[in-house]
Order: sequence, then C-alpha cells, then structure tokens
Amino acid sequence: MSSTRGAPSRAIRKPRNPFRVYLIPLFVLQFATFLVPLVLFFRMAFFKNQGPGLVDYDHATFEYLGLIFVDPYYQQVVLDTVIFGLLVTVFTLLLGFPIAYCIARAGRFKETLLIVVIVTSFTSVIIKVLGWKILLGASGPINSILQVLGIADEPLRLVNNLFGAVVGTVHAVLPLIVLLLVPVVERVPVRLEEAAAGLGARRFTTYWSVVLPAARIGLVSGGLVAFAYAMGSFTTPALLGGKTTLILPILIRQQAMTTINYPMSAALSITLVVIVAIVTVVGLSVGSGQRARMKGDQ
Amino acid sequence: MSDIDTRTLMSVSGRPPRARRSMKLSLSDIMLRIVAAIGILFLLLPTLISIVVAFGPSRFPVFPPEGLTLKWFTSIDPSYGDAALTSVILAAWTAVISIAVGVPASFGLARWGRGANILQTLARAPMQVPYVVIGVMMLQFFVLITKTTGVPFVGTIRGLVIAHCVVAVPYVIGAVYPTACLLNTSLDDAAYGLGASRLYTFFRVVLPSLKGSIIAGTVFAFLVSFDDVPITLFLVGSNVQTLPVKLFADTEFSFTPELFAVSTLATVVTCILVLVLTKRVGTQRMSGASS
Amino acid sequence: MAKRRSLAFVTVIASAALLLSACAAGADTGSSDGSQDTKGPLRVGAYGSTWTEAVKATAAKAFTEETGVKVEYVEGNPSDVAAQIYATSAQGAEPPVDVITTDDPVQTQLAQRELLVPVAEYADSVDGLFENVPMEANNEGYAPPVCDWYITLTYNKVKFEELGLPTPTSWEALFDSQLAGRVAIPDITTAMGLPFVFAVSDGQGMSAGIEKIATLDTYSVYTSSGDMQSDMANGNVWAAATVDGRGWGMVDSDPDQFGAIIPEVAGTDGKIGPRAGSCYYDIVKDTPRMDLAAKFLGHVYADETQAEFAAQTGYIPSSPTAIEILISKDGKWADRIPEVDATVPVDWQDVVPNIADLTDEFNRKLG
Repeated sequence: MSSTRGAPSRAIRKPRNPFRVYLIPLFVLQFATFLVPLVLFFRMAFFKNQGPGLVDYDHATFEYLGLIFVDPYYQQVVLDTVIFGLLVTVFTLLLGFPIAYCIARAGRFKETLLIVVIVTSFTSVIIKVLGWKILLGASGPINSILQVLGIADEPLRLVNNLFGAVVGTVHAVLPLIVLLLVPVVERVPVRLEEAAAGLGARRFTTYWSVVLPAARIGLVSGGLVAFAYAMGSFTTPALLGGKTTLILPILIRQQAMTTINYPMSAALSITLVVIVAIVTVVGLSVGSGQRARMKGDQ
Repeated sequence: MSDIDTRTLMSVSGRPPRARRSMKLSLSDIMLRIVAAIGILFLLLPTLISIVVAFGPSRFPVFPPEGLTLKWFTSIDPSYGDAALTSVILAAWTAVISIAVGVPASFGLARWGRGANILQTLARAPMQVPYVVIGVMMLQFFVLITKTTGVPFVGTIRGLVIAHCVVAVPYVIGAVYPTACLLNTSLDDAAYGLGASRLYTFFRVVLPSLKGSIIAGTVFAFLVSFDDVPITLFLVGSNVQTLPVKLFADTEFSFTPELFAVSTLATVVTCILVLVLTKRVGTQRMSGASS
Repeated sequence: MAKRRSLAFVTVIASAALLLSACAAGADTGSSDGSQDTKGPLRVGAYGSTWTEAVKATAAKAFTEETGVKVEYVEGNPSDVAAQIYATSAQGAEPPVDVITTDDPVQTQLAQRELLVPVAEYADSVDGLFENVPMEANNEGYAPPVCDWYITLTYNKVKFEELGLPTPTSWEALFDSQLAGRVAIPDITTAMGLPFVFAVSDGQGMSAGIEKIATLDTYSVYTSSGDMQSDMANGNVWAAATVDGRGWGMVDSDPDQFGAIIPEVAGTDGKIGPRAGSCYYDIVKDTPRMDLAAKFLGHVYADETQAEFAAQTGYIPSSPTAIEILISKDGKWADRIPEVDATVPVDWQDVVPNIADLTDEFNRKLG
C-alpha cells in the first residue's frame, strides 16, 4: 500500500506543502464560526459566576476547573463518561464492520441494504428513542419474549440505565459508521482475499490479517466518529440512560439551561473536550502506527 | 504481502472485481453474516415499532396497538409540513457547504504527511464539543455579531446553516479522509506529472475516485443537520421551526401517536426519495464503487 | 508553478464564494427574521404544541382582531427561551421575544436579573389588566399567575387492584415495596422536580426530601412528561408523580385503567398538593413593542380566555370567575380543582436561590 504512496509525491513535493491550500476553506470556516465562539465560551470557565447567565469578568478564578479535579464525584462522572464512550465505540464497530463488509460484498443486494441503513437513519432521533423506550420497557416486547422463552423470570432492567443509554447511542451512530465503512471495505480488493485463500489461509485468518489491517484506517476513523458522537450526544443518553447514567454532556446541559451557571458549564465542557482530544490523538496514532509498520515492511 | 497489496490496489483503481464465487462459506463467514443480520435487525427495530404504533387507536402510543386506525395520519397538523420543509432546506444547505469545505480538506489532510494527525485532530475538533455547548456558544456569538453588524443570525436559516456546518464538516472529513488515504497517489501524481493542473487533477481524478465517500459524507452532513435538536433548540426563532425541534417540543406537551404518524410519513418520503435517487444515479455510484 | 498556485487559490475563492452565497440565499428563505421595527409581529415565547395551539385559538385570535398585528411564537420550554434572553441581554441587544411564558424558577431567575418589565410600568395602559386575578405574584412587582398547577399521583388502577394496594391518598403510597422498580418520578431539572422533592420532604426541608427520594426504587426519573405517559400507557410504570394536566389526561384516555389524585402532603396538617407552581406571561425588558405586549396580556389574562385555555390544556385558571365558567361548561372540573385553602404551596422564594445546590445534591444522591 505504502509503496504506491509517498515516493513519487515526495519527488514532486516542494518545500512548501502544496496541499495546504485545500485546507484553507476549512480553517477559515473553523476559525470564524467555531474557534472564536469556543474561546469566548471557554473563557467563562475562569471567571466567577454571578447569578443566572451573568459572569463577573473582574474576578478570575480556577474554582470550577479545580472542583472537577478534586471532587471524587466529578472524577466518577469523568470515568463514567469515558466508559460510556468506549462501550459505544466498541459495540458500534463490532456491529458496524460486519454490516459494512456484508453490504460491500453483497452484490445485487447491496443497494437494498444501503437503503435500509439510510432510511433507518432518517427516523428522527426523538422517535427512535421513544421506540427504544417501548421495546426495552419492563412490560415491553423484548422482556415479554425473554420471559416466554424462560430466559428471565422477572422483567430485566434494560432501560433507564447504562445498558439503555449504550443501546440507544450505538443505534443512533451505527448507520453513520456503516456508511463510512462501506467505501473503505470496498477499497480492500477482493483479489487480496482471494490471494490469501489461494495461499491456503483460512477465512478467519484472511479476515484477521488481511481485511482488518487493510481497513484499519477506516476503523480508526469510524471509531473516532462513534466516540465523539457518544461524547456529544445529549438527547439519547438523557432519555434512555436515566439518572444512573450521569455523563458530562448531561451535566453541561443542566448547568447551561437549568442552573444557568455558565462558568461551571464551560469548565465541564473543557474537561470533556480534553478527554475527547486525548482519545482522538491516541486513536490517530494507533491508525498511523499501522502505516508506519507497513512502510517498514518494504 | 506488500507486493500483493500494490498490484491489487493498482488494479482496483482501474476496475473493481465483483463477485467472489470461488470461495466456500466457512464458519467465520457465517458468523460474520449472522452478526450483520442482527445488526440490520437492530437498526430496523425502533423504526418498525414507531410505524406500528402510529396506527394505534388509543390516545397514547401503545405497543402492541389495540386496533388499527388511520386517524392520526388524517389529522396531521399542517405546521409539521412547514417544519419539515424548513428542515430539508436547512439540511440541504448544510450538506452542500460541508462538502465544498470538507472534501478538499480531507484530500489535503490525506496528503499532508508529517503532522497530519495534529491537523486532523484540529479539523475534527467541533465534533468533540458536545452539541449543547455548541448551541450555547453559537447563541452568544451570534448575538454579539448581530449587535456589531446588524445582520440577524438567531432565528434565521442563515444562522442555523452556519451552526450546523460547524458540526457537519468533521463528519464529512470522517467519511472522506479514510478513502482519500487509500487513494492511489501515483494516479494523480501521474496526471499532474503529465501536465494536468492541480485543479484539473483534483476535479477529474481525485473527486471521481472519492465518489462513494463523498456521497456518504453528503448523507452524513444532511443527517446531522436534519436530525439536530440540541443546537437548533438554542437558535430557532419565531418564524423558523425545524421538524425534530417541533417533535421534541410535542413529546413534552401532546404526546400522541400523531408524532409517530408524522415520523412514519417522513420515513415513507425518505424511502421514495432514496429509491428515486438510486434509480437515477444507479447502484454503482450510489454504493460508491470505484469506477 | 505560479499558475498552479493561482489555480489552487481559485478553488479556495470558489469555496468561499459558495459559502457566502449560500448564506445569503439561506437568509432569503428565512423571511422577515425579527425586523427591528415596532410594526412587526408580536413575538411570544411559548411551550409548543397544545399550549401554542390554545394560545392561537384564544388570546392571539382576539389580539389580532383588535390590533391587526400578527403573533409569532418561539417555542420551547421557558428555560430554552430564557437562554436566548440571557444571551441578548449580555450583549445589550434586542430580546428575541416581546412576551415570555414563564414558570416559577424562570420568572424568578429573570426577575433577579431585571430582564422583565415590572407590572407598574404597563398595567395602566390596558383597562382592568390583572384585576380579575388575585395578585399573588411569586416575584413581587412582576406578572401574576395566569394558571396554577398541582402535582398529582397518577396510578394504574388495574395494577393496584391486582397487587391489593388501596387507593392512594398520600405521597407515602409511592414508597410501597410492591411498586419497587415501577415508579416514575420527575427529574429535578423539570418544572415538577422541585415540587416533588417538597412533596415528600415531610416538612423537614428540601434536603430531607432528596434523601427520601434516594431510597425510592424507581423505574425512571423522567425529564419528559410524554415519556412518562408512554411508560404508563405501556404498563411499564404503575405509579407516577405528574403535573395535574397530564394526570387527568391519562384518566380521560382510559378512566377504567388510570386514576389520579392530589395527595396529602405529610407534615402539613392534612393539606393536599403541593400547589406546585404557576404559569405567567411577562413582558421582556427592552422590547420595542411594549404597548402591544400589554394589550396581548390583556387578552391572555381575560376570564373567557383563561377558561377556554384551561379546557384545552388542563391547566387551572388563576381567576375565580374563569374557574366558574370552566365548571359550568364541564362538571368534571369541580372535582379536579381543589380549594386553594386546602392546599399547600411550594415556597419558591425559598427554593429558587438554592436551585443550583439542590440540583447538585439530587445528582449526587441519585446518580
């Protein structure tokens, strides 16, 4: 893979990176409509709250960020948030990759399957959540089936807890991940698999050491989308997770909307953004570690 | 291994090999298909439930319904139509702008080389800020801008498009970047080397190879905008109301199967649109095969 | 080389132009976005759906007939609309609405920030404004209640019979061990949340109420009433603390299956309730349409409007005359509207300053 990249372009590449200009629109947009508002908002975290919606810019303080660091309750919230995000990411990829693979290799059913994925993703998030509420309810269809089959005596608690929140969020982000992975899998050539089979590799070995590594960059990208989505979503975990799934986005909304404490809201947001940034950097280096290794193979 | 890799990648950029008849189904194949089938069922379940519930006669949405009726469909308030139209216009603008910004950026990132990870983290940053926060900060920012320039942003499509683009562009990058990385560099370098301009190469060589991901990215951007509640909630005004925000407000106040009827209609319309689109565009392009 | 770079810049400029034109074109479809003149429509912050529909059919209709001015709505919970007001006020810009529907916490917070117009500044401009409603404004000097609401204990009659549970009379009924895992209570961030804490606090203060709630084995701590209603209708929840309007809504949908009562509050000498709160319409500070807004309030607070509004939404009118009209039209209201003296109100003045601490405590105890 890497042998076709790199070498020729390096020959052409000038001291000044020619690909810079492709990024200009992005960074202009992000600077004007994201970075500036974000900095203005984050700035509030370092000043005193002065009642609903009012920030005292004359009195700087580290009180709010400090509290998040020191208070075991907030440490627990941060931990829960990370666990929630990782669970969503893992299950999304575990379901998403097989679906994407089957769709990519489904031949004439490909179109139908893609339509199913796209159409389900167009159902409003509110309606999906309400659908899950009914499905996962104590007297809902899933519990009824489990009881008829004798798997459970008592109705299982499937909703208003971490399980419900993960199910709902995985469901919300899964179509995006499938759509993201299908083109990636398609770029893994069938002949590569055939070659592996021709060399006597078992199917499992083919998947494990040929298909997955080739799709790795897509998996990392998809995983990051899933993690970020989980960290940014409020509606689904709030409605399906109940009170026991107190994660940062929910607290941020509370501080921004109910208690209207902008500094605390900003401090919690900074914490969340730092978490996601760390995970993103780690994730990306895992992804590029792969590229580096393959370069070494040559 | 890297040798096979090179040859097959070269060949794929010419013409995608299709069927794979020669291989027998093994246990891992079967497992993979079962998981995929469960996954698809999982995707469908809530939508199916919401459709069934929409036909229930009782005042509240109940499953299984105690009968069948169309009354929730015939009584749908016309304001849902207006809200849906606003949502579609908004989502379409968001998709167009996000693609225009996100696709060149993905390509640039894929070719950047050293330091690309840091740039990519920056490019993805808006995705990592919870929507609620984006809502609050955009609201304050827009008010500030309106005060200095006199151009209203809160409660306008303009403001909503900008706010939605901020979060949609990273999704486009998430979709396009991985395929841009796998893109055969030698091809556009060859075109470039043969005297084609960078611009020409980008439009005639790079873009067509990214088609599948670009379509996925368009769907992403459209969806992110079309389905957003938390950001929009802060920015809607007296004459701009989107469908999901309206549904959200209605679950609070008049929670009847009518909401599910609206959602079912939306699903049907989406189905028809997607079907028409696939007929027009064709399977090959829709699914993003590299042709 | 220079040529290539200039071509690349064309790409950039094209993208930028596309962005700008899109925004401009987008603005056209956004129509009359909040024109700054006093002639524009009156903008009212309101809850969505049934609430807005009822306002349209009653007060707004009469208002438009009188003045020829249209009414537009910014829909959302009072806190959502208030969030926009905080933002505009921080920049000294024109508020997003002229009139806002508030509940007790939001009115108190806005009043603290002096973002509402005191009644004294406009009451005289409309004949008889607020004269029909008892002036028990929670926030002195600001608009009085237009409707009141209680929390009800709504329960599944069939399940209660199956379990051999008596008809509930007090909030204690929610704590029966047979209902473990089948009770829904409001989250503290909703309008019913704080009143519910008050309801079970046994006169020992809000913290005691939170302690008590922490012992309850709940099915859900809900943030959306619709969600709770769905859970009741689907049999997941057998008893819930709800706003009275929703409780009666459940009863009306199936009187054989659902019952609702306003229970006794422990520690208050047999009083029932609590009278959880009120709804208000206030004029927002710095509105350019103050006179129109006052005229609109005149229609909203009128007896006939209140009665009709209550019939459509289930919220109890604040005007005694309106209550009489309502009962004369439909006898069922006689049973549903308690004597004010028999009820106990939540002391919002005492609660609101502590909302942040109470919310934090609730999260920590129940999380």
